[in-house]
Amino acid sequence: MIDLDKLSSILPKVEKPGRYIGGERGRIKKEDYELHFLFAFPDVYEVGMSNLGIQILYDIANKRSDTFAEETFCPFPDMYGLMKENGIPLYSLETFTPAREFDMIGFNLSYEMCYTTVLSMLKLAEIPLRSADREGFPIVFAGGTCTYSPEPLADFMDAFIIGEGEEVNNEFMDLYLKHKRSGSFDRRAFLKEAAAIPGVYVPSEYQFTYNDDGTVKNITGPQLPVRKRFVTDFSNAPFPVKPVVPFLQTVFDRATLEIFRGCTRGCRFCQAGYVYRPNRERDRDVLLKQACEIIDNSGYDEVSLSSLSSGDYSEINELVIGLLDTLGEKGVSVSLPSLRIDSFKEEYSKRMQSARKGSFTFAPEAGTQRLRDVINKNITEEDIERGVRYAFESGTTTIKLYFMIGLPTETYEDLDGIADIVRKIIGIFYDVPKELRKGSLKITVSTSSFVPKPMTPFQWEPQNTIEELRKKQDYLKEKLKIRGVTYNYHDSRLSFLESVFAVGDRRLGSVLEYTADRGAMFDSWQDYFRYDLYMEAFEKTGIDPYFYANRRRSPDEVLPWSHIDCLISKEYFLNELEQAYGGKTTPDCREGCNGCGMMKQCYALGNIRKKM
Amino acid sequence: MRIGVRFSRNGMSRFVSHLDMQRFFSRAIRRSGIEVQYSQGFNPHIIMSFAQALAVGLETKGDYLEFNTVNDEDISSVRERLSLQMSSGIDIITAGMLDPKGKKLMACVEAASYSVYCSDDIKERFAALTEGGSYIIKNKKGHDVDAGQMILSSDIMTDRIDLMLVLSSKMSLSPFSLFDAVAPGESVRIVRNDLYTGSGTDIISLSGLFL
Ligand code: SF4
Repeated sequence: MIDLDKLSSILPKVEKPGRYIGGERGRIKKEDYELHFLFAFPDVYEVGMSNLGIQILYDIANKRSDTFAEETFCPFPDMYGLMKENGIPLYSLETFTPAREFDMIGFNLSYEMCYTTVLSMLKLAEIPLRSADREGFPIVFAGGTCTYSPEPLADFMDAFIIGEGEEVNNEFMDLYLKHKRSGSFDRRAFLKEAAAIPGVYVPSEYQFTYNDDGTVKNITGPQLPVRKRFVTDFSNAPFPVKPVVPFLQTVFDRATLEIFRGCTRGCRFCQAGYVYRPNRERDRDVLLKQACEIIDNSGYDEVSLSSLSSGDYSEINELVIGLLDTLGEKGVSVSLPSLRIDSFKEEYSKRMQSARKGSFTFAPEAGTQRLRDVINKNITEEDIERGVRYAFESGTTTIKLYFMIGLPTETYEDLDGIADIVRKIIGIFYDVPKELRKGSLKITVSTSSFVPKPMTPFQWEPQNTIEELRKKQDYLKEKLKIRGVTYNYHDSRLSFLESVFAVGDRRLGSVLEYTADRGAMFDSWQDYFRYDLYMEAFEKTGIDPYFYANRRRSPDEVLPWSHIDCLISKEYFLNELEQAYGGKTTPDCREGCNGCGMMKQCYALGNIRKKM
Repeated sequence: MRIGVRFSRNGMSRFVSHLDMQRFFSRAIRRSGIEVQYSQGFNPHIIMSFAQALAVGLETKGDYLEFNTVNDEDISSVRERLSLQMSSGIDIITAGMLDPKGKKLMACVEAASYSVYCSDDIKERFAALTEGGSYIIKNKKGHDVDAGQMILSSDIMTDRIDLMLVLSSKMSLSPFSLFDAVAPGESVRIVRNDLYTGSGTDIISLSGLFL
């Protein structure tokens, strides 16, 4: 255990000490176990505690009688500095055990810009960064969506879990225990054997060679490719009904139900939409039961439905009505984070939390129908018009719109289209009878910059340069100088780096090490983002970042993630890319299987229902 | 039925903020299934109030909160049901009925007793500084206050100093401010033992208001 007196003496000096004390209702304590496991989340407590994936895996690991799983998050820079100064290493929240004393540490990687935070956590834990130097230290591995293109972290991770950890983690732990029980644990032997587990990628067992032009020539290793694993019986898959209830207000401070995994829409830029296939729904009865249990065990007064597009749940109306009917009398409200207004009966929309909070969100992603067809975003101008009209009539005056800039084939006409949509919405607002409107209209337009992601049809696409993105942002800034309209945009330098690390290979490890050695972490937090440090690192290591971010990859190229298989065929992605350039849309999978390579599993698993 | 609860907190849970304590107790009450009164309106919440805010870092053996139940309840069952919903370091000490017509606990508090665990050196410094009866320190807002007037009593014990300090809506002295002045930069462990109402010889623990 770390020195609690020392810890107590620094806690009064930091912001939100509640992040570092554990003791929340629902946190597990165990005395007898063989395997000591630490879940590590590379962001601050409030963000990590809102991650459903970690909650699910924490619950599964602790259901094993031989395992005690604990959690840790990255201390925010104020606390991080004081811990270093006082010699307090990274520790777990359940038992205040130093991270380096655990058997295994599993990181969650959901965003490329968390990589330096991962390394900073290892440093604070006093664990060697490189897998090769880690003899006598815990097994450090990672899961999460970034593992579909894991190479930038290849030198630092002993293993990656490809796909859904629900099943793979258990096999990985079983193997660890087998080796541990044998008396003398041999790290190398364990990793060699682990490299044969389906869904486990052990980067040190794979070799990369490169062509003179810098592209990958060849990849060799024990499993080629490493195929992703996924849960097949989603309804009955374990789900935490006794969640840890934080003291602090977290990002999602409420009960969460995962209503389905996957997405049938096929937006061509969306990595999650592809890697979470096949589409799998959880039975309504199971969800209602889980909701009641979570509410009883947690004391939350709000339930939210989590999925990539909750309105697409086949029985969404019945589900929401069921939840409102069973939980409403307990004073519990229901909220849908990605509400699709068109799929709702009005009376129920009125009872929903999102309506109460008084703001409506739309994500058309692109300003013209042409570009929306290119990216296969099936939302029409009429959908938006109908939605906002309804929103205004029910008293909402705040509209949030999300777009992406820098999409393949984008022109300035598409940017004009964004301003057109905004103007149209303003027109609709003044169309609505005055008695129904409450106050003045506020529209927030946010643009993110397109990042070509592995495992999407756009994985071969170049990203716009920082300058191109800036010009587009400046253009929109001018175009959106309209009363009541606020325009926000993402830092294009951050999107650029995100792009580099999304499609990068293992040579980028030296860049990450260089920046982490100089204190980079929390890159996605504006105040801590150190772009210049990254540029310095590229220069010092002789790595050209533009090669990764701004180059068009050829379909024949060996991509740095071609040894990882998300089960969607290359042919399908290439065909989708062609369709995109032809401005042709691909229908929603609920209208029929599009043959992506998942072998109609969405239908076979009985969880997809054809749209009427 | 109006119910008062006396609770304690120690260990790492002393770093929970006051706002988070409120959220914690609201959820604990919801989990307990005890039917309590809610506020009206858009975002109904449990009507619950603490006798005093708990500063971050302060341990306590005697803090209080109150709420109203919808029905008449058996008080020992209320205590048990709530006890089951606590978290590590936070415990229910007792619960009791309160006079439905009485003032809010919040308005009753006049003083608080503390134990300050510290070295002999700090004890001596404390004794020396407070000898004269009047003793000016800076409070949290940076204003000068006469701490001497607000120390109702102090006893130097073998391992600690026991204090009774003024704590009301008009005037209060934080033990943290006091010891920041006595021993700047040194951290001492401070435990609040109880909250009191009344004055002079009529001073009683808030738990004395439980019927
Ligand atoms: S298998 Fe068919 S239905 Fe399922 S995601 Fe692929 S294309 Fe869509």
